[in-house]
Amino acid sequence: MKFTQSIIMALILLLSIFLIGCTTEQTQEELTSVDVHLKYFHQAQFAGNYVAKEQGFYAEENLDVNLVPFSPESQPIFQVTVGEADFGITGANELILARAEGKPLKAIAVIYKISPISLYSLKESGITSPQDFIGKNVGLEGTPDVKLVYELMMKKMDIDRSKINEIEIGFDASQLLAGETDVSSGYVINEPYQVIEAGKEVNIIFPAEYGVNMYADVLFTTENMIENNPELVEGFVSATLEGWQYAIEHEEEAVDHTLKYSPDLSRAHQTYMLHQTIPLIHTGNEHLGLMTEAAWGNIYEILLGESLVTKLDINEVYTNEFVEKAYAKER
Amino acid sequence: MKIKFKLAIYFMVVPLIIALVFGYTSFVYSSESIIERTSEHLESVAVLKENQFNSYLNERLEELLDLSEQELIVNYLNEFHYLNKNYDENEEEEQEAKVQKLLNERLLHHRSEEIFVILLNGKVDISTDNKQKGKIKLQEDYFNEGLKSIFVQSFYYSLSTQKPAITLSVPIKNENNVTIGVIAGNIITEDISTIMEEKSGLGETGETYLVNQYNLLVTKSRFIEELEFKRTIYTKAVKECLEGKRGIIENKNYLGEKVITFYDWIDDRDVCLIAEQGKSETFTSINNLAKILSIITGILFIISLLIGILFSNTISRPIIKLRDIAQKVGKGKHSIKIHVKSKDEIGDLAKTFNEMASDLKEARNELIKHAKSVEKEVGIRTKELNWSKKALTRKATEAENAKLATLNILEDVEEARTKLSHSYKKLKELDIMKSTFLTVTSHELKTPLTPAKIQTQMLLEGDLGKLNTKQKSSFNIILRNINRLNVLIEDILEISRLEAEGFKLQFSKVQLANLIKATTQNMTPVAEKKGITISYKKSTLPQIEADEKRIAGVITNLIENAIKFTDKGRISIEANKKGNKILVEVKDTGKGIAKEHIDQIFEAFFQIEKTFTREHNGTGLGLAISKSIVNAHKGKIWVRSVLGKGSTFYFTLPLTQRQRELKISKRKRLNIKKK
Repeated sequence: MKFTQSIIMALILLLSIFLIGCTTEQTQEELTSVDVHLKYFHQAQFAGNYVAKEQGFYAEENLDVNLVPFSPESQPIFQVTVGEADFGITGANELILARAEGKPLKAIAVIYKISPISLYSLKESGITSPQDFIGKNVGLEGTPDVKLVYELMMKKMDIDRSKINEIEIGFDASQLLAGETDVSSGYVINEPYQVIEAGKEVNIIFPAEYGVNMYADVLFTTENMIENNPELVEGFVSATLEGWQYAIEHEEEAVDHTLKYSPDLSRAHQTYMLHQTIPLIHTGNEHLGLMTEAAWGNIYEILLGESLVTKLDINEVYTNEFVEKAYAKER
Repeated sequence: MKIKFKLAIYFMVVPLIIALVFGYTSFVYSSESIIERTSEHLESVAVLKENQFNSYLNERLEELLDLSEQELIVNYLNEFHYLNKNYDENEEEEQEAKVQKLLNERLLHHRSEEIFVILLNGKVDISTDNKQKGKIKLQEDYFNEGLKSIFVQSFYYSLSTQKPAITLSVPIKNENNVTIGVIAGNIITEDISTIMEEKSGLGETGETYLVNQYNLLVTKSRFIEELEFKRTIYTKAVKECLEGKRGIIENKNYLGEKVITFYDWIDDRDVCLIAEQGKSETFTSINNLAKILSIITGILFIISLLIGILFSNTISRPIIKLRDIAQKVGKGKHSIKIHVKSKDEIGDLAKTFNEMASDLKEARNELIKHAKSVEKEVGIRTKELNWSKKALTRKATEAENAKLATLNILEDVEEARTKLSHSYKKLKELDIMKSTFLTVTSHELKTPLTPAKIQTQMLLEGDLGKLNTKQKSSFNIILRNINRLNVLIEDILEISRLEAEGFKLQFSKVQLANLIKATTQNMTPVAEKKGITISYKKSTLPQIEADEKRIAGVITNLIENAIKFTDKGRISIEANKKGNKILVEVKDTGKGIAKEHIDQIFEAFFQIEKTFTREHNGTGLGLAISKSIVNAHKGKIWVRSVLGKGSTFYFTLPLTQRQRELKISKRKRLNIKKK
């Protein structure tokens, strides 16, 4: 009797030690703090990130993600390169340029597969394609991206730009609404909404449909990080994509989360923004986040054609390793 | 528990168990067959949907194929774009308008979203949707693949149309079989959803839908709006399906509900077809069955309960009645009878009981009658007694008087007794005095005899001078008489000591047989002198406790007597164990003892002839002494004799002397133990 009793006691003791060990292990496992530098101010453009954080997807990967918004003084590429941020979100063209400059950065997933850069007109104007620009006032925002995309598109379309009155405009739709321009450039997720808000319908022209597309938002990090913390990178990619999938399926909730980061924004606008964003992220014929050599190649070709970069192995700029791992995970 | 409840429970439980077993078996059996049937049903629905889906796409492809062979289109492309001859712009526009018109016309009859022609450079040249004109499709699969052969680009999100699309493409070839363009058509994807949604006989929870290779739900969900092209599905069925498999599985669907799912990978469309039905609904019929079964079981239960109660009532009622009446009878109500009509064992029991009760009643009545008569008798007797009592009282008075008389007499008696006691005391004193006197006189007598004897012996031996024959004979007579006197005085001394103080016996273990033998042998010479044979038949005897010397004396005395009183014949001695005693017999063939003397022979100084005869040497004290010795051993001595034929002397000796004491002490010990 005494023997069996002591055995039972020993078992109970072992079990309790084991359980205590388990619980302490869980509590001891602290979240790794990670800074992510966004490409822009807080808005639904990064809905997937907000969702991932707010729904606890990052925490599940043991990450405490700090989402740092863009500011003129701190650019994602710089911040990540110097190690101020662990991850960044930026345009594929920028990343290629940085890479060409010798910065050891690498894209680990694409968010915006289709560039939201668009040209929009009032529906009543009847302008629905670049061919219709002839003889019209086209307002272009003063960023190199927009100009580059516009010029390339016109070139691809064989349109004589001399017949078009190109004007530089501000970062809103006011000039189109004022009639100063017939067509304006802008992010499909932002500026055209002003027109809609003004009670008018818009025509959207995507340069992407005319052969000029650049991955707009890609997640990137340093080669160092990939090498030393591949599990952390995988966790971050996986959680971010999960966040986006969730946002796609639950747009309203995603907007709620977005507004937590930027309470001053209009819900209606953010709702519109997310709705417009989804087709650019989620093409349906590819996994979210997965990049193609063709797409990267196209961007590189564009940049090469403009003599912006020298020779570069495009496969060094990105890796699908983490996206693939995320989808290989058992769900 | 009461018998009624017991019976009710038995009656209830048996059919219930049967119902449950039957119900369970049929439930299991039917659920198996239902799953099988559902699987078959799901598969047939899936096959039907797949056929519809394929034929829908094929119809659209047929339409595109027909268009791709239209001379108008082929010529237009060949002339104005492929060959790129110098051409009239107006003619081109004219031809283009014609093609456009054709496409528009076809679109009216065909079920398509858009039909468009793509040039080799990837540009959309003509489209039923003007806005699409000029768009570059170089990146699109339907363009690149469409250049080579018929192609179906399954489910993707079209930026152009801002919705999910399936695009079919067919190469356009000139007469030299050179591809000069691609004609493509966007399918109305809602139609596919409709095909999937259309009634399939899958009930309330069933649906069929398509999932593409990126786990994306591409057709409408029957249950949640706008889920298509948003929700990714990672159910077991989809997982299996995306591995290119076909099968049936029980799993949870994208809504987390338990379903039976049939899945099939449609290879050339790159989609997975799912047909499933909620398990709950699948089992509706079974659940109905279960309901019916439980209702039947319930009814059975109630019926059996009622029957049970009824039966238990009919069975238990007479028993309970029997018990109640038995109790009443027990309390003395004998006139009660049980009325049980049933002709079974209980009826018999009741009948027997009734008989028993009536018997009891009779017996009781008898008893009462008897008691009454006894009472009467007692009354009579009491009266008689009263009379007797009066008589007695009278008699008592008389008796009282008599008593007084008696008391007077008693006083006289007491007086006499005191006198007697005085006489007794005196007598006793006299007796002691006699004994003392005897002792003293014996002693005094003996003392002078010793020197007389010695002197006589000396004279006889011639120490004081030679004696002549006459003198010798005279001295011999003197010596013999001295000896006799000596023996006589010894015996008197013995007897007087005996009477004065009693014996002080010295007990030891005695082998009586050996003792008798030795004594007999000692006496043999004396007997032989007289010509008498003496025999002792020795037998084994137990050791006894006795005073060896004295017993030897007794035996010697008896043998001496035998020799003394026997002239001829023999003396036989025997000793045997009788119970816890030894019986010794000394038998002679002498002259015997007259009846009148038998009682006296053991008394002192008794001899039959009342004389110290010369013939019979003896003091007459031997038997008295022997009797005393035997008595002191707690034995008995007696004689049987036939005058002229012989006498037999008997005496007994107990085996142990302490027997009685031992017994007493044993009993004491037992008493102590008992306490």
